[in-house]
Amino acid sequence: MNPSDAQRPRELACDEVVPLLPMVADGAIEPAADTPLFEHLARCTDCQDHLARLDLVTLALEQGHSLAPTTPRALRFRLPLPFAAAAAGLAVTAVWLGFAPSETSATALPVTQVFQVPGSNAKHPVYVVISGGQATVVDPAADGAAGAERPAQVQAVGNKLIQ
Amino acid sequence: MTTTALIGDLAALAGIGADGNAMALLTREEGALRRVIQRYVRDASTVDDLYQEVSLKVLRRIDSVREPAALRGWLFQLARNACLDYLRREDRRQAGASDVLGDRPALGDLGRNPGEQFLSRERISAVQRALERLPESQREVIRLRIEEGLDHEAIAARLHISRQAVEVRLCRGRATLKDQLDEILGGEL
Repeated sequence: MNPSDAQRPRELACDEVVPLLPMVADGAIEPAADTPLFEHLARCTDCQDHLARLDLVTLALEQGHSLAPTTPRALRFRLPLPFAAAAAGLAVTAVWLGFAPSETSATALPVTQVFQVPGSNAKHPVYVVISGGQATVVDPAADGAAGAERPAQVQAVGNKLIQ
Repeated sequence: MTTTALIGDLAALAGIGADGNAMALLTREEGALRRVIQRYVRDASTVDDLYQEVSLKVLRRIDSVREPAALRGWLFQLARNACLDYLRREDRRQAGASDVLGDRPALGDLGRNPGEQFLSRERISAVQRALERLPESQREVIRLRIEEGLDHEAIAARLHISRQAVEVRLCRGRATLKDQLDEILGGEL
């Protein structure tokens, strides 16, 4: 063997590199840790393309996470007092009537109920959402653009209990 | 003015010593570096900006490369990191703009590269939908890695599994998401 060959890292084939690319995309493998892998990446356009797509997935996941719609805020502070009182009464009543899950009846319960708060109007509806034993007062208009999309989902509910 | 001469002038302005070997390396590798950048960014002026950014980093840091065989891989990673940093900066910049405008575009929908569409809302949604279809074990490690930024050791501790198991799940999950994205993109990136 030529002495210079002994110092040169062995050239990898694509089928050896591809299984490692998710770890490169993850940031778990750096050039200093695996010279032959990155030497292959520097010259192989197919593997560069493969890695770029994995990077695209990472960026999309990061963006998707940061773009995820926020849950409408519970209006502990913004709800006018009469609405809050009505909503709280409705929520307590609903739980008292047995809508909240219990150890004995959980399987028979509806998943989610939405009530429109009496006194809130069509232009500014306010809802009580009961889910998993938790009652939350929700104002879809209070969260700007994120909340503005929500009335369409719940407006049809009116004052009735849905399942 | 050639690109190499421009890089030399920029380096001088930045007070970076541009030795002949580094400049020769940049001249030789310019095409390869630009091709790497073009995999992530299509707008020509942004490619130029990123190439210049990478070149200045090469001139600043070339002494840190101890092993000649590692040089090309190091250049590749420098270019790739510059692109990913740029795309993340764009995301944050657009997120900041949306605080004023009231809506948030996906990267590529607005901003400097309006036609680029590297990460359109459609693609982000497709990846998110594919994520939801992953097995729970893979989805959870990806969520902890991306959303909480945990390293592999921390994920292993949180889930009471080995580090090796974390890495297997991450690899499989990322590979599956990439395959599903391939189906959507076809030959286009």
